[in-house]
Amino acid sequence: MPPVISFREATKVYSSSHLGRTTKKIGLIDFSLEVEKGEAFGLLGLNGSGKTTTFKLALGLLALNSGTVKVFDLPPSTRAFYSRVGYVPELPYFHSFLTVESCLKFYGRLSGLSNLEIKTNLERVLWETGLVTHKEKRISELSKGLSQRVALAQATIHNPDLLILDEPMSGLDPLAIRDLREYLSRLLEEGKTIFISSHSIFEIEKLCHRVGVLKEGRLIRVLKRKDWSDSRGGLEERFTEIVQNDRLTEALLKTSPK
Amino acid sequence: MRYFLTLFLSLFLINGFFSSLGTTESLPDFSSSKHPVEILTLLNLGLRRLAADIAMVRLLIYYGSSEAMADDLNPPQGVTLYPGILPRAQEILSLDPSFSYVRFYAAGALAFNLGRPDEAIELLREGLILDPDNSKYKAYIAAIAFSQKGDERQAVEALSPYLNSPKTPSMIKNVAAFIYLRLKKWPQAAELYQELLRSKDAGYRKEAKKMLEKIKKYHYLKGN
Amino acid sequence: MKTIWILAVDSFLENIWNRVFILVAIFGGLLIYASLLFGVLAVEEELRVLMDSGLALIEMVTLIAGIYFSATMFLKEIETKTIYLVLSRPLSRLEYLLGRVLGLILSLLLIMVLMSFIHLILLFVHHWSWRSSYLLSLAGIFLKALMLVAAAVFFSLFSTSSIAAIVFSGSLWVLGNFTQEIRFLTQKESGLPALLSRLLLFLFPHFEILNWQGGANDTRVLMGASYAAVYFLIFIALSWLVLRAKEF
Repeated sequence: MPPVISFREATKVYSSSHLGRTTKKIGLIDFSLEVEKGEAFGLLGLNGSGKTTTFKLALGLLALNSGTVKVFDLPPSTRAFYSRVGYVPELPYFHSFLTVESCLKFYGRLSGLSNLEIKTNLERVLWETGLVTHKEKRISELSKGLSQRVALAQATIHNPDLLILDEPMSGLDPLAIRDLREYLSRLLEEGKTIFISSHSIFEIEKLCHRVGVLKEGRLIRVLKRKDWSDSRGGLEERFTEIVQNDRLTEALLKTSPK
Repeated sequence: MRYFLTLFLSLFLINGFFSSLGTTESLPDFSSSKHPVEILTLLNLGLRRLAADIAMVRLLIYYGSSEAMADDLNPPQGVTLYPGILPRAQEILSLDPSFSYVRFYAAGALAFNLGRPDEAIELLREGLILDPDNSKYKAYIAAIAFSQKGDERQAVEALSPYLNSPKTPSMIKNVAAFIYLRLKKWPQAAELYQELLRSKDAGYRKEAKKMLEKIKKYHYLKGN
Repeated sequence: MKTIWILAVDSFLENIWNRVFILVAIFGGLLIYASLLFGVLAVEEELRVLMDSGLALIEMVTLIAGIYFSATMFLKEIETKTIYLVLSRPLSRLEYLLGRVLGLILSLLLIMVLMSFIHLILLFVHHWSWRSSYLLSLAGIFLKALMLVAAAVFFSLFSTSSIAAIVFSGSLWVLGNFTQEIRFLTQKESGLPALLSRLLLFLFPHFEILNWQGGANDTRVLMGASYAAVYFLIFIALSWLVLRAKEF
């Protein structure tokens, strides 16, 4: 069975022109990765390391400069692909005048669901994300935690096989984080695939089967669960170690005589 | 890129093709206007009719201002009252040539109130050039010509088909009613004053009421 | 088609919620003020002035709203990341573009209907009798709005700055009202100035042919409407070409 997500030597360079001067910035370089069905894969990295770029490439929102990316063995731009993917961007915005229910119905309709499917799926996601009691509320009345639940609900309303979650825990209180983790674990049990990034190493550690460490657009290490479960300091220690070692190597390469 | 260029070229050609639909006649002339920026701004926004309307309001204010007494029909020799009426009216009509009210209002004021029939005829002739079949312009020109000759009866006869029209300025109706009074044609004068009671200009309504009372009294005195 | 409609309704509702009523309230206030003022000043031509000033205000508000909404709509969606939530669904970018533009057009239509309603009340209060040429005037304004909306959408997608898009579309609006003067120049001048003037006629839109306030015959209406429709479609197609290749 082909992997759910497959990057092969993917490179993305952002170029911007100002007054005839072109500036280039590396988003991702020689990135190769495969994520299997039913797997939770976490991306860790400092700010600007290329996590969001990776997600956007997987979603077809950005175009590659070289290499390939396939999701469900399809280039990420077809209708068949999008109907199987749910996406939560970092700090998404919803129309403040909509109620939770109308907002989710809108995304359900946009995902091509029939009225009957929307009715059934809406009840399910409202229940699973703990939004049942808030469904009549307007988005403008929601706390950050509840908004984040709406973000997750809109990504799962069409029951996708793959969830791409960019910092879904950002701004959530500990209880909301726990609820979110439990919900994602249930989705994994159902056989869904999760591709997630978070600054909360602790949550990634609990949820993910494998973790990739990104630095300045390069995937510098992929860790399996046993790599950090054996370590006393857990994933946090492994991550810090990897990033620091990489820095040291870089510094040594710079100072060593040719 | 190929599609892009094709579409831009199509846009270019479509603009070129449809440009022939526009007109070249009667460009607005506001070179002597006191408010060129205002007019230019409105033209920039495609609001040519509104520019004409505002200029008309300015004309009405100008003619109603105390630069000279509006009802002074015999100005001292050498003094031109309201010299700006003709250029202002021409400016308005260059903005909207179909604004006939302005043409008749200004021509009436110039010919019958200010004693400058030549300017009035100039304005009406410009109208005839744009609309050669307009009999109302011809009637006005005839009325002014008769008035110049002192033949008030013929003057008012020339105007009579248009006097009951709501589009005829109250000022013209008032002048005509006054001529009818001078000609002792009481019923015609009374009819016009009745019409003027419905005028939107309060001044003419007041005048009409007063004159109607006078006509009534005169009739009683004469035993009619 | 269904997706386009879903997106259109969403944009329409958002516009109603955020902007429409403020604009209509401002319009209503201005119109009532203008009618009272002109009623006193224009005396016998009060109705004409009330008609012209009302239609001018309807045109101004519609075109300004059209340019502003179009120039900011997509950039706001990118800024708030709403675009990611939409484009990560099973829909094409063309559907997305058409849906959003349709929603915007519906919002402008609603603005026009509400403003015309206030305007008509004022006209009827002043004993105006209905004429179908009123609808023709509104149609001309609407078609101008369509042309500017399409151009502003294209500029906003192309320039990635709403200010630049507003400036470009605003310039197009102003220059598109000057083609009569330019055409006059092409006839009066010769040589290079005439050639340059002719070139400008090919570059700028001709809003003048959609000024139907003073009345227009069927041919003029048909030609004007065809021009606006083709102009709109070309700019929408250009916008689609930009959007198709755009990265978010």
